[in-house]
Amino acid sequence: MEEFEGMAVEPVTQWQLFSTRLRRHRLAMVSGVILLLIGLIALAAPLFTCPNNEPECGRLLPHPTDQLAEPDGRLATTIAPRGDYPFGTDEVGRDVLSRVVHGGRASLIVGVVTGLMVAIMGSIVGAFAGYYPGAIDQGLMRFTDLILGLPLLPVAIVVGRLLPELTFVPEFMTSGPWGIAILLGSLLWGGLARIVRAEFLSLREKEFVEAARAAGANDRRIIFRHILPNAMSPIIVQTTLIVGAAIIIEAALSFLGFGVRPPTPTWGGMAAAGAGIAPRGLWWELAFSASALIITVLSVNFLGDGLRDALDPTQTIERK
Amino acid sequence: MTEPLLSVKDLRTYFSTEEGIVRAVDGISFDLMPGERLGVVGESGSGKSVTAMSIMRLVEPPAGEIVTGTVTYHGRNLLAITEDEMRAVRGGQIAMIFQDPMTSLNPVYTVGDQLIETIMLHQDVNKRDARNVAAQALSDVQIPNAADRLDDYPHQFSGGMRQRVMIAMGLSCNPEVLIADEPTTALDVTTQAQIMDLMLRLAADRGTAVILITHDLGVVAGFCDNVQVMYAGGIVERGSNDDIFYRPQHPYTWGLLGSMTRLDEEQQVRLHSIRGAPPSVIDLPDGCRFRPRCDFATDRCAQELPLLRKIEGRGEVACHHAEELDLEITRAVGAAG
Amino acid sequence: MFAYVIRRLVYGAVTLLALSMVVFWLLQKTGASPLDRLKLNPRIQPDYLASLTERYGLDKSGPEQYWIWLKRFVTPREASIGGLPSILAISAGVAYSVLASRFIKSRQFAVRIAKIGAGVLIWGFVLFTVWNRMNIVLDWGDSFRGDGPVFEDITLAAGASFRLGMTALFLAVMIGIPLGIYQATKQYSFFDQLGTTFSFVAFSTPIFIIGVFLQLGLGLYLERWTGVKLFYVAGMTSSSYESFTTLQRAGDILQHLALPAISIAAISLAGYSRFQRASMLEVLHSDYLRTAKAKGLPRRRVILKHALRNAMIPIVTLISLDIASIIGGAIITESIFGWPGVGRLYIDAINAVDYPAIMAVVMAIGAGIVVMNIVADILYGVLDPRVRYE
Ligand SMILES: Nc1ncnc2c1ncn2[C@@H]1O[C@H](COP(=O)(O)OP(=O)(O)O)[C@@H](O)[C@H]1O
Ligand SMILES: [Mg+2]
Repeated sequence: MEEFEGMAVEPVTQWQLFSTRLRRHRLAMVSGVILLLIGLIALAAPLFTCPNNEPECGRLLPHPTDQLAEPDGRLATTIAPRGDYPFGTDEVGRDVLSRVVHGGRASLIVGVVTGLMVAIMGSIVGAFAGYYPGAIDQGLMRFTDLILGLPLLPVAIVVGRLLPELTFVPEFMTSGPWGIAILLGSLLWGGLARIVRAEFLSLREKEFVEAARAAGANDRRIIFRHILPNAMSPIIVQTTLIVGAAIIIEAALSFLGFGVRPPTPTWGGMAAAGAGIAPRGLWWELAFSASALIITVLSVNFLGDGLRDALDPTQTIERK
Repeated sequence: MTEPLLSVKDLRTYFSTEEGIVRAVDGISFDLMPGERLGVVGESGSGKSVTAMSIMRLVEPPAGEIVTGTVTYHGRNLLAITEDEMRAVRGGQIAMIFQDPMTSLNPVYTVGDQLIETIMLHQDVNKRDARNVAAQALSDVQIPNAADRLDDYPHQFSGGMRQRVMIAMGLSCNPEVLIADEPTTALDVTTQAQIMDLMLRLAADRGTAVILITHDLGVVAGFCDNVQVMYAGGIVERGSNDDIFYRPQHPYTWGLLGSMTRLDEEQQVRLHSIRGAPPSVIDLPDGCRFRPRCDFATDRCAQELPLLRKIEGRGEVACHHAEELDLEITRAVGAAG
Repeated sequence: MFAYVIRRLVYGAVTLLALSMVVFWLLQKTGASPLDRLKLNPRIQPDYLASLTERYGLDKSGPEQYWIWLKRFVTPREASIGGLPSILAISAGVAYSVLASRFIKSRQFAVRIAKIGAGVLIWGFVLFTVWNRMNIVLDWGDSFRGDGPVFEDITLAAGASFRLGMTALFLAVMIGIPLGIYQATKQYSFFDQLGTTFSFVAFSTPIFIIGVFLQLGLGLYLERWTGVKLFYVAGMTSSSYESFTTLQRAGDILQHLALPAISIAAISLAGYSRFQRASMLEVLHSDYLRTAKAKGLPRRRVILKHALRNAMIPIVTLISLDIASIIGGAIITESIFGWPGVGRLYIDAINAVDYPAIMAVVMAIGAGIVVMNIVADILYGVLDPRVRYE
């Protein structure tokens, strides 16, 4: 029973090691806090917002898609940042602060949903391929190669463009971030599947797997209870990288007009609109949306970096 | 008595790490005579490799630093000469062989490339002659078809063969000192003996002195003239092969002997063993470093660091109670060699 | 290796086939058929509509339309490879490749390089000969926007994209790799920290933001504030390009090329330098480097000979993976900078749901990625003797 004790104790010390290492990575901690804040703000955005922009509602922000009127009744278009509009207003007179805050929702949904999809699909495909050599491995990996061989952005662009018109796509996915998230999730899992497969190939041969098998555990139990937890580090690290990439791709699609459709605010879409008026010296819409985007992705990547250092200090090479 | 070839005095090498200062080598002194075969043994982490790396001046700054000490070689302090002068010593006069032959050769260059490079660096020969010397060196270490195999890449050799290549490379410039850091640890048992035998025979032919580092007493038993035992960055016992194997004085050496595997036996026979784990060289206990694991420790051991001293009729030992202890060796070891 | 390349090409073809099916299927699954879309365009005459319907089988079922498309796509409208000289050249190339992979077995680096170098030269000559004599016009359909044959559009645009993509790749490799190596040899120095920070920020910045900011900052505002026009923010050449001298032309090209190329390069460069730094550090701590130092080699030799080649091996794979993102990045950058490349063609086609054009461009981009990946894989094998092509 000595070994059993050892196994029970180990995760705790591992966890402690991990958390001390992560805490030492100050930038990663700060990034985590920033992400948490951005997430909370985006999540709570509707609570600060007047649903129909009625002046007497007294909430903090106007509705992100409503145009604002000045006292003289004209639309408050392209007002530079000032007290009542800290981030200014856009070309059609909508409050940029409110739009930046709400724009985070799309990025977040895409980041989280894509990340989850990739983690789940990549792990499952990689696990089965790595655990069952031969036909299953071959078949799954050929399929993975196929997905990895697709030109990511061109495919994402054409699907993004057609999404609102595709007849088989459910309504909720057609114009909001959900469709984009699911699209990216189904395109981006290949890299993780390869990594998980490699982990499984080596872990499959380890003693603890033999022991579990000898103890009568079935394959499913061995895969999900015994091997997968041991492959968690690369899964987490790779998923974090994917989250950053997904947020960037969503923004790029929205920038090109093939992502989340107006009037829903997105950082990418705002950057496109902002870039259009920036040559006239109207810098704020571009500046604030771009900053929000960069800060978010930077935080995700710093967090990923910290996680990698904390989870696996020996592994130094990453990306994709 | 002849002059020592290499003389290490009060060498201290520390590493600064996130956990604190690692005193990997903490005040060791020893001499190496010309042609001597000196075994250095100790558990892993006791500072053997760092000692070797310090002599070669290959400890990597900024983490590692040789804090004090001298390494005298032909009247010069190797720790004080310039980097250029040191480079002539490295590989030319003092050569080193490392533990893992699988990773110690550069995978993208042929074995011949790497041998010829060494030879041309230290000897005044042209490329053609260097190639001949290299082929000769390979055939000296009993690699068949030596001349052809020069054009092979390391991955085309087995582990044992690669270690032969490393030996050939180490000896190709006829160094005066060969430092072999666990040269056979990564190899299987049958290959181990062959390689060890080959290396020491070639060294003897050339009159090369050898420092053989290992954590396995069985390896040194048959091959060395003198042995020193390291523990937590210091030398705890030193003596001739017979001193160490028949008349051990330090409880640590005694423990090591008790748990050693004999070369001629398949299974490990444990007579007595050392309890506890090796100390962290960050938080060393006061007094004797071995005290927490020692069955014979007294109050004095907790206060006073024992120094290495010569015991009449035996070797040197760093233990306050060497005279009182009667560390019986229950089994004739060393006879195997 | 010849067999390996062939096999990779087959895999690539399968990928492209799958790609074409997916995109074609998606285009079919929109609410409106291509026919409906065309009907919306008042400029299109009914008889033209009828001829298109006839030609593309627009009134047929989806799979049938795909089959019609596929047949047309792979069947050249005109094809001649230029008679005997081309045939001889091709035979020579194939013969060399087969013989060389059969009989030249030396593991010497120089011999490997010579063998592959000869292969490249011979195939270069073959391609040159064939290129000069052949006449292949593929029928990739006519753009539904009335711009004529898509194949011609693509061959024109491909040149522009190639110029942009290669410049960006060149910049990224020539700056990113030395940067990473230098950082690794000076780990934790101020310069290293600076480089790491830069690459982290660049790596986390979407390419369109870099593009837009370069366009505004170095293009527009620099000129506005200083009066000097250093860079152009749109197009590939000035309108008066034809009347320029050679020198002026070169300058004009660079002025147009700089900003879009830097935009694409910046992100790849960040990735390369980070990756190169990591792989160099790993090599610097490797056992064989310790061996090299213990032999008494000078530090320069240790780094330039023993470390560099090992540290370059993994980056080649990264570059091969990155080709796809450079091409992807080019789509966005080309549309920002009005660069007349394949990417912009694609965006235009997509906007109009111009299905022959979308299909053709997607296939062209996919094929580009497949070919570049094979090239990178071969390069990998040249650098690393442990790789065998089976
Ligand atoms: N580069 C390094 N950085 C930090 N600590 C090191 C380094 N190299 C060795 N050490 C530490 O020095 C001690 C002695 O190591 P070493 O000489 O390699 O032991 P061994 O006797 O097994 O060869 C160990 O505790 C090790 O952790
Ligand atoms: Mg060691």
